[in-house]
Order: sequence, then structure tokens, then C-alpha cells
Amino acid sequence: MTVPPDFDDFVRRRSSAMLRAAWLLTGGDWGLAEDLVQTALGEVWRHWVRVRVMDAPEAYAHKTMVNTFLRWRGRRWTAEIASAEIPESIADTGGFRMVDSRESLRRALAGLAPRQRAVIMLRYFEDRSEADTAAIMGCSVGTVKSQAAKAIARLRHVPGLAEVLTGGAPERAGDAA
Amino acid sequence: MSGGQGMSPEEQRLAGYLKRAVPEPPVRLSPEEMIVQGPERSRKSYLMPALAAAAVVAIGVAIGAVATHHSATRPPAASPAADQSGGSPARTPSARPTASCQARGASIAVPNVVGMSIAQARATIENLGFVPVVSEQSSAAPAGAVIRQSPAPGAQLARGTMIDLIASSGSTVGGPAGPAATSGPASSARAAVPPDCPASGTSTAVPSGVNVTVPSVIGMRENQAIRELRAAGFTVAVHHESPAGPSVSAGEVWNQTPVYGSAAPRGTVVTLDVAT
Repeated sequence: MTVPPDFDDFVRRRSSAMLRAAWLLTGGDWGLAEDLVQTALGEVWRHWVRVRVMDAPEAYAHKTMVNTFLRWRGRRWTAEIASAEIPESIADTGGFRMVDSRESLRRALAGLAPRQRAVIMLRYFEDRSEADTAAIMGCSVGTVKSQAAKAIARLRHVPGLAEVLTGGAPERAGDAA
Repeated sequence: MSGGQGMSPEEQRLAGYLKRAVPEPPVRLSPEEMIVQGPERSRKSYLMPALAAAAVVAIGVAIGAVATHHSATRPPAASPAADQSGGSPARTPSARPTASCQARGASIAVPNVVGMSIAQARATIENLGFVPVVSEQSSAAPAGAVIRQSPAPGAQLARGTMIDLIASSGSTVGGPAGPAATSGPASSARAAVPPDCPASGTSTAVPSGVNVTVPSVIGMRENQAIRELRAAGFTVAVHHESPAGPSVSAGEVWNQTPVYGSAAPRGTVVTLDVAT
């Protein structure tokens, strides 16, 4: 079966952004993230005739992804995240602040509820407004606010992230490095 | 899109941090897979529904067979017998997939890649099934060489674990154009590196093999991406164009051709799409 060029192009353009978002949603698990994006894009493909003419096909794809994620959470998500991989890799992260804090981020995410992760991703990673976030998740703006507040309150207590949030953060390490 | 509206300083810091902290994806998805597989998930997630369905069918057949058999002969005895023969096959298959979902492969020893070029290190790590995540730091080591890695070599880790590599970006800050010049006075070399700048003769730390693996630079800042590609021996062209989606901040690379992971001869032009 051949891939129509516009779908091919869509996947090439969007998949890395979607993967990064899915990485956040799944608490830093590339395997699950890949599964998730693949499912979402499969869904997009199924409705491609309709999606391709939309104003913002990528918004549809992201929405599908978040919904799929929230639907899956009861099934396999929670159980699988607690795999043996996370603890060991922190072993020798000595002086790398970015690496350290990424590891903290993964742990922090794993400690958040799925809906909180979804809010964090949509609101702070993709910079969507509260209203957009609520629309995508199918909940009220109030819920978005409270979930975000709860999530941040939690992140504040995670060792590597506390400094980031209070502003005594590692300087813009990403740019300098 | 630029975000920040209605966010507290704390929220803004979180937003900025997330964009830096989320690593670039280690894989590239191919559209063919999506189409062949249709809307369903990958193989792993087929297992559970398939087994469940099989179990349901098995129970149905068992109950049906027993029930018809008994109703033909002596109806009163039907239900206890059906319970027994239907009950046990249902339990066995549905218990299995839970265990097999966890089996993500055995542990492998992390290789030592310190001293290799980024491309070499990446290939070594990927071949073993780990996921390299490269960042850069200025150092006296030749640009493009891996100076530190984490976790340390020898650690036994599961496939798919991220291995963080710190590569040297050259000796001093701000010298993206001249990675070779160790003590070079290229102090004001902040010249933003125009796309087609033919500085291709500068790559030092690159193995002289014919083909080099194209590194992933998606998610990096433009300058860093150019530096890394040059260090790996490629020529860089830049297109300033934003993707249709909202999730890329200005100055960030969001697409590259050829795709990373592919092998290309040194000097090949790698085209980057940088968000504006």
C-alpha cells in the first residue's frame, strides 16, 4: 500500500513534536510514547480524507493523542510505568545539571496523575490557553486550573525541579551547552 | 503560540524548562507502519485483546457444547459441568499477557564511548539497543568528541534506556564556526553562521570513513545544530520556516533532511528547518 504524499509529509513534519509531547504524557517512556503517537496517527490516517482538508490537521492529531492517552490510562499505563528502568540510570549523573534535572523530571512525571500530565503537557509544553486545554481534554476550565495547580504543587517538592520553579534555576543550560 | 499569557512567573519558568528538558525523539516514525497497522496499536497491545477474545470464544464453545450435550440428555446436570469446563480455560490465557507486557528485554552492558565522535558513539549505542541523548559542553577536547557519558560504561541496563552523552563543542564559548581552532582567537565569531557558509573544511574530530551517520539535531537551537552537524562532517543549509503546529519555539530546529540515523557521505548538505 502506498502512502499518499500529503500523509507522508504530515507524519514527517509532526511526528517528532508529537513524540516529544507523548514523552511527557507517558512520564518519559519512549516505548509507550511511540505506541501512543502511532495509535493517534493511525486514527488520523483512518479519517485522513476528512482531516486533510481541516484548517489545523495537527490540532486534530494532538487532540486524538491526548484522548487516546486518557482513555488508555486505566488499562496499561499505570502498571507499566513502574518498570525497573528508572532507578538505575541516575547512578552516575555527577555534574550534569540538565541530565540530572531531566531524570528528576521523569520521576516527577511518573508521580503525577495522567490528567495532570496531560494538563502540564498542553498548558506548559505546548503553551495552549486554559480554554484550549479544557476543550482538548473535554473538561471545564476550572478543572484545568485545579489540575495544573495540583501538579505544580507536586513538582515543587521534587528535588531537581524545585530550583527550576523558584527561579534559582540552573541557568539556560540548554542554550549555552 | 508564544505562550505566557495569563501565566504566573512560576508557570512561565516551568514552561521554559519543559521545552529544554524534553529530549529529542530517538526514533523516526514511518508513515507506512501507520497505514499497514491501521488505527490499532503496535504488536504488544494486540496480545491482550487477542487472547481475551480467544478465551471468550473458548468459553462460549465449551459452554455451548456442554449445554447442548446435556440438554439433549439430562438438562438438570448442565450448569455445574459448564461452570467447571468453562471456568478454567478462561483463567489461564488471561493471566499470561500481564506478565509478557513487562518483559522488555534483558539487561545489556553500557559500552564505553568516551573519546569517540558523536556519530560513532551514537551508532555504537544504538546498535546495542540503547537510546543516545546528546548534549554539548565547551571543553578543551576536539569538537564533536564525546567527553562524558552517563550511566557509566559497564552498567547493566535494559534496552531502550537513554544514555546521556556530553560532547565537546570546542574550546571556548561562541566559536561555532571554528571547532578546529583550539587556541584560535576567533573571539568575535558570533557571526550567527549563515546557512550556506562554506566552512566545510573545518571538521577535525570526524573519522575519515566514507559514510557518516547523520546526527539528530531536532529540538536544538540553530547554532548548536549547525555546530554539531559540522563536527560530524556535514555541510548545513537552513530554511527559516515555522511548522504548522504550535509546539516549536523560535530558533529551534524542527525538521532535518536527510533524516537522522541515515548514513551519508561527508560533505553532504543537511537541510534544517528552523522555526521563526
